[in-house]
Amino acid sequence: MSEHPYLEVRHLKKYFMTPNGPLHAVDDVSFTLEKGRTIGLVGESGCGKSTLGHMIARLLDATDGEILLEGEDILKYNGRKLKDLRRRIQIIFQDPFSSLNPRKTVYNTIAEPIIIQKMCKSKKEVEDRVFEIMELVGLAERYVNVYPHELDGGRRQRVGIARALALDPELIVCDEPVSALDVSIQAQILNLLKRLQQQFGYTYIFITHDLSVVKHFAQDVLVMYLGQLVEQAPVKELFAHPRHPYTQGLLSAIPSTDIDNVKDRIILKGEITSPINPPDECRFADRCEYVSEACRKKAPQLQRLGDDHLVSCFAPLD
Amino acid sequence: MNDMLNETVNAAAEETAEVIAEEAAGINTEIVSDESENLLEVKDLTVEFHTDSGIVQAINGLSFSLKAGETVGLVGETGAGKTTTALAIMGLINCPPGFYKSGEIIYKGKDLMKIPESEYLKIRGREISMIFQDPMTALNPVMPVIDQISEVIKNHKHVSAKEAREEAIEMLKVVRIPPERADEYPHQFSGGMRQRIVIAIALACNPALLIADEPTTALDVTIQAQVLEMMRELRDNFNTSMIMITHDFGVVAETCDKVAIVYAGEVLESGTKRDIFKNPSHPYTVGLFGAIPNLNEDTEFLYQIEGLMPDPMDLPKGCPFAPRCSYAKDICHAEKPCVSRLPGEEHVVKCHKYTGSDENQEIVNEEWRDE
Repeated sequence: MSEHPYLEVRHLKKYFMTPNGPLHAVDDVSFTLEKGRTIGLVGESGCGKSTLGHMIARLLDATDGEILLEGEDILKYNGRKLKDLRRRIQIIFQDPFSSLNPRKTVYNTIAEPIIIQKMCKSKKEVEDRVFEIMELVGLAERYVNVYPHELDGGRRQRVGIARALALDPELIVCDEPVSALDVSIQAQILNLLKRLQQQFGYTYIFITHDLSVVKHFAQDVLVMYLGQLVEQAPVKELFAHPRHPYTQGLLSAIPSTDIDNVKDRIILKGEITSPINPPDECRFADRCEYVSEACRKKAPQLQRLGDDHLVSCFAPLD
Repeated sequence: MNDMLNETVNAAAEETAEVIAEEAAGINTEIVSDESENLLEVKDLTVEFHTDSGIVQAINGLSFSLKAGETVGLVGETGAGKTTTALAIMGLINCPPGFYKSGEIIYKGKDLMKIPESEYLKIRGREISMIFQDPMTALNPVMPVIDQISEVIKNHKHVSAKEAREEAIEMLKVVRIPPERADEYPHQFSGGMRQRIVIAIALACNPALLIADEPTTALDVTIQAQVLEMMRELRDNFNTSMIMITHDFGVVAETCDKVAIVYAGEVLESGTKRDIFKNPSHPYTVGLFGAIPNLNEDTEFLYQIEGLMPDPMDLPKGCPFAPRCSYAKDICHAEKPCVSRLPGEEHVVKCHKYTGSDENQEIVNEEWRDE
């Protein structure tokens, strides 16, 4: 087993059929992830980052490609094997307001996966497990019988996290877990996720559009644009030396809180174009200030620049 | 005889002209003096909502002021009362259930809380306008965007439908939307474009004061950068004053001159941007800065403000932040802190750390200094 990377995604594709042609939500994405690490998945809305996360959590089927978990293609799993897989991969959703069943109490929400997976033998054991998880995520015992509408956003997100942790998973897909929360609550949740990772060795796929959160939270970053990977690098390397013009624009767009060093920002023109039937050229070409003829002729391939730095651009920046 | 009559008429006309000129001059001087003073002053505003389950104390003695051409940022978390303040200034709070309990909203020397609705209609949209947070819901889905812009112009200026449409098309160009898309409906535009249309509506009558309620929260960073850049440009071109409501210190740093930190319906700290960013003094402000992941520093864990904002139906007796504050002493739970001045032009803070509880001292209280 050990010769395989923990998670390997190979040429993964997801096309949605629309009346106007196939929508390329995820288009030929490949990457690997080692156990116990966090990979950040960033990009603008509509770039396919959530679709990718949902495929890894097996909530969506792929059009093509492979997702290898310790060498086995989980896309081929079904029945018994798929149910077992659910124990190992869990997901935390973006919106704590719509991802909880409004008619289930906190207890029932957290206990449901435990009961479905027959993790515990008796009712008492289930109860103990629920209280153990609640304590772990910082939910007071008195909330055990309340409904989601009685809770504020931060506590709801804790319930969402508790539900994901109930089965003691290995890999957790965090789909924008803090973007609906206030800064002070965001800090509480990020600290919680980090502490849990240190304690239990979870592997995270952290999907977000907030680059400062990625900088704080992840070790490696994947930048996506219109369904494709445009750059991949360790977090420090990416923030210090972005090589793709899109990454550069994305980093430059973050409003800085440093009022003394007002940076010259690069403002990306235009907006993300349609992922329906994209032409065979660099998908960023229309917004790129360095665009040349080569970019219009065919799509660039991901190329290696340095040890862990991959860029998909004909003329990477220095 | 005729000549004499003519002369008197002429004299009378001259007199009238002089009077008009004088009046005009008078108005001018008034406007000039207004510019050096506050365009808007919110004093001790208190707004409550009476609901079946109790009284929600949404705004509790909130004060801030704004000079012509300035941008003030109202920063705070969800439920702090930022949007309610904006709606109060716009006169858009439904009474009941809302009640203006006390306070004044003085705009160009006039207390907006005392004027009749008919007068408010002339101010709203023309003098003061607002950009709402969510561009997806702020527009009418069954009306072409051009009509939504020209509607404001028609309501406030005496122009024909055709002229209003032409002006509206000019506004579309200002916010960089191709005029050939004028007759499309909101759903045909992307989020960033919709927000630009909302901005066009707000700026259509060239208001003196623009209230922007989280204008970029629903947008991607790259689009946020575009919208902010455009708002800055328009503000400078039209010399509009702005109230920027946000929870993002980055947005504040890029757009505002002054900052007010709002918590539980009060301003806990306010000052110039430099005061707040370089010398944050209230424990809540310090905590907020610590809670943001910093791009230039590496920290293992973020600073965490424990707990939650108090329930506005059941506010603490003393300082509203006391239950979450790590410096809190007995006095903080018992008494509300007064406003105290800090070094720096307009830097004020509401915290017992900086005042004696008995007197409104102007120095930092020594007792608290190194804790």
